[in-house]
Amino acid sequence: MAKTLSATFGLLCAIAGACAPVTAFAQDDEFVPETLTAKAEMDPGPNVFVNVQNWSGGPSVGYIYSAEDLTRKGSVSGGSQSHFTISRDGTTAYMASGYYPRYDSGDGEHVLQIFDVATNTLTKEIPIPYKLAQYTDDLSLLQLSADETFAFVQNGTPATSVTVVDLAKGEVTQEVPSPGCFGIYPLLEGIGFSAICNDGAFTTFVLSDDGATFESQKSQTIFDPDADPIYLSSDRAEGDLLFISYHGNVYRLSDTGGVIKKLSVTPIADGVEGNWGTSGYTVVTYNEANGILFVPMASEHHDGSHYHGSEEVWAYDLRNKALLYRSPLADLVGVAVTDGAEPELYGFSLKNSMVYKFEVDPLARFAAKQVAEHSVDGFATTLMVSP
Amino acid sequence: MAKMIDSFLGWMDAAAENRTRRIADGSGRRSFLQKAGWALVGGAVLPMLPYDNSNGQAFARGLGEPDELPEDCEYWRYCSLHGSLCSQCGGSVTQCPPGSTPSKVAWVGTCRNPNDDKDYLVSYNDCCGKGGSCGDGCSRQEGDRPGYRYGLASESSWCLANTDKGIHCTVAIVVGQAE
Repeated sequence: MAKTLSATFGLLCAIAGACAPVTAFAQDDEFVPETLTAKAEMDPGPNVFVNVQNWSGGPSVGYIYSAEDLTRKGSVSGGSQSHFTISRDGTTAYMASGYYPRYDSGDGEHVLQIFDVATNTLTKEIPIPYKLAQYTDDLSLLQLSADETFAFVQNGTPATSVTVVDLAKGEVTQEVPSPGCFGIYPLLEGIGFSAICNDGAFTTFVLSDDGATFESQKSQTIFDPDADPIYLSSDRAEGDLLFISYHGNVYRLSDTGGVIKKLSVTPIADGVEGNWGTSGYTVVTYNEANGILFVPMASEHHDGSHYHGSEEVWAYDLRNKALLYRSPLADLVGVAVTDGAEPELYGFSLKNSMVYKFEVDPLARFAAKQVAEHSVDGFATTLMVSP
Repeated sequence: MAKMIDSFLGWMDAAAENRTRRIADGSGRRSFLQKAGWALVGGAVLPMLPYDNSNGQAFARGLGEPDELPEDCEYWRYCSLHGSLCSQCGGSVTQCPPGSTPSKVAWVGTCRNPNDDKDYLVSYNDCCGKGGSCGDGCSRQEGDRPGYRYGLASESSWCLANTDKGIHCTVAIVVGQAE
């Protein structure tokens, strides 16, 4: 009996085994194998760019997030210790970086790479002098001319100079010596830029139309680098340049006329208890529609604390010289705000490795409230928002 | 044209160094120019610095240091340090680890030595040519200035003038009294 049962069970199993594939595939007569593709373009919409610098010889990455909800949409990548910027319309990205075949030893090369943002693809690569500033990224280290036909790249050997690149021709037109000066702040008209100098003055360089020659003019002393050093970080306010010092003093400068002139100095922390100072890297961002400056700030600031993260982000009405709101946003080292009537503020934290989006309420004295976040993989100090 | 620019920038480096050192001689201890002078001369001085075989202690004793030097970021001579500690990965306070090369140039801080209550100029040299993490990271950065005062700029790689650009760790060399 046992043998009969075993035989019957075995026969059933054999039939089931033979029929099973037929049964399964019978439901998929129309099966079409999947095909491997690459997505042609990122999803449309405004973007936030975060430049993650690799300091170990490997690739740096410009991460691209949706400005709506910080979904990661794409990225572009280049070499080590990258400096990064985007075109005004946000359709083109630029990265200057170093390629070191053996990572930590031997020769290398520095290049400026140009990317199509929509497709995340490399469109042009331009070799530049092997002098690129190997420096924590700041937006002032790679900039475009006002008409976006030239790129200006900061060098540091540590002698300082600026490489001028004709973007249409894809070639270097000249290297502008800028001894003792650092940072690139393009003029709003013509081809040229200003730089911060070691004695507290600025030098403005005005280039010829072909980018091949220049004239320079040095300003009067603008700030005291010993007593009130300013950050490299800067933004425009109604056409003027804004800088801020470690101690929270906002310098408003004009660069019209081929030379920098000081318009005003506004101490935003005066009268606020707690010895507050500026804290972070990308620390100056200005909302044009409302005239509001946003600054990451920390209390009990002291010598050496200027790159630490924020305790609060202050909304300061620069037109009326009034501190409007102190949002309790901790650990941010970079902020960027949009220019519209209802500002959107973005920031990131090195400590938390996160990028954040904050809604800002003009009716509530520009208080900021977090609405989205996303991880940032690596070391970043700069961010930008595109239309 | 490129050679001319290189030549000019080389001359500029040398001229800046000479000028800075001249001015530094007559400047106060907190003067940038004094510090920058030391930074620029750091590469030339470095081979002559009192490297020792005692894990940095022989030189340190001259500064009233204890036999065993601290290995944390709060150690006085790390006041402007922005990097990782070579003393924790085969080197010492004043020595780069084996297989790495001291940077030719450096940034400079002014640190108060609690043992004698005097200020000293400290040259922070990166050790170059090796990758990999190495020792605790310290970011005290007192006296740090952005690149417009490059000799005080702790946010720069200081392996930038070396052929081998990998940054391994940072040492802190007392190069002079700040007065």
